[in-house]
Amino acid sequence: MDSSQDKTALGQQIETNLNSIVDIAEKWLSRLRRRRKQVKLASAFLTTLLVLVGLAAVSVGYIVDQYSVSFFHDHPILILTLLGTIAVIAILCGVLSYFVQGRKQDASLNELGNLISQMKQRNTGSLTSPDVLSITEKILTLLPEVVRKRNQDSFLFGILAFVITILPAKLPLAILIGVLVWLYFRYEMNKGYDKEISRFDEQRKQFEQRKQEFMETL
Amino acid sequence: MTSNLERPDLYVVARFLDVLYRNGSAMKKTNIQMLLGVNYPRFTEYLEWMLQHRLVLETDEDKVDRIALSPKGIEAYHRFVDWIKETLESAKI
Repeated sequence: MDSSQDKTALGQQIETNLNSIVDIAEKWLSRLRRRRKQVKLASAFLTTLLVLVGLAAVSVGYIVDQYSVSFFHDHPILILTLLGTIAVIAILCGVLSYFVQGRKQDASLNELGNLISQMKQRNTGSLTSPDVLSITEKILTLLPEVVRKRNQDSFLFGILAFVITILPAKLPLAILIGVLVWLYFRYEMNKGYDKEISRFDEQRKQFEQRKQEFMETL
Repeated sequence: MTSNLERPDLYVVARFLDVLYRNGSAMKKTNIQMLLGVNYPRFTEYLEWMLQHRLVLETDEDKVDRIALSPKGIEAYHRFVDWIKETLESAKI
């Protein structure tokens, strides 16, 4: 093979690599979008559950305190209406949280999506290495943003503990147990969150380090 | 010739390599500068840095100063693209 054939082969290899980087980036984008959707659904579900349990607990507590346990038996339609209203409110809160939460992350994902589709629309051979470098940087920046913060989970556990305890025990003890359960799970979940975030930070640091190393090898 | 650049931007270096690689032959400085999208003093700093690291060569075709990619520059460009691909493939969620 002569030198011009060598050059052509190398040039083709570069083009293939650049195009495959865009394909990999596209796969990453769909993974990130899927993950983001899962996070949003989980948060919406937990919000629904939290509002449902919270409002139901307050209502039941109020009825038991003001009237008696027989109130539930005596007014079934009223109780069903109340539970139905609480359920509707909880579902609305869940739907609202699905659409409201994480708009910043959604915007970043859309930005990445636009960048990738712009590159795919270009003519073959016009893809540049700085383009693919910027896509890679964007993906590595977005990774920590799709990790779910689990603040709601711990709060839900705290409320559940409160509801379970208030039935046999007194209010101060139920509050104490609820708060303790909430704090414990908050600590554990924050620990897990920090661990996951630090894993992505490490990946990002490695990338920056390798960028530096690459410059040093030039 | 010594460069004043202490920490060159990888994006500019990559674009520099990219422009020359795609063109395939030696280019006039002003053309490179325009394609890089940097001002002339900045371009001169990067050019000096690239020359100092022997990534590009100065040629004198038709008595016009031109810049071409050196074999080391070509190799660096290949390594750069391979590295990005590898980074993206090895990233984990």
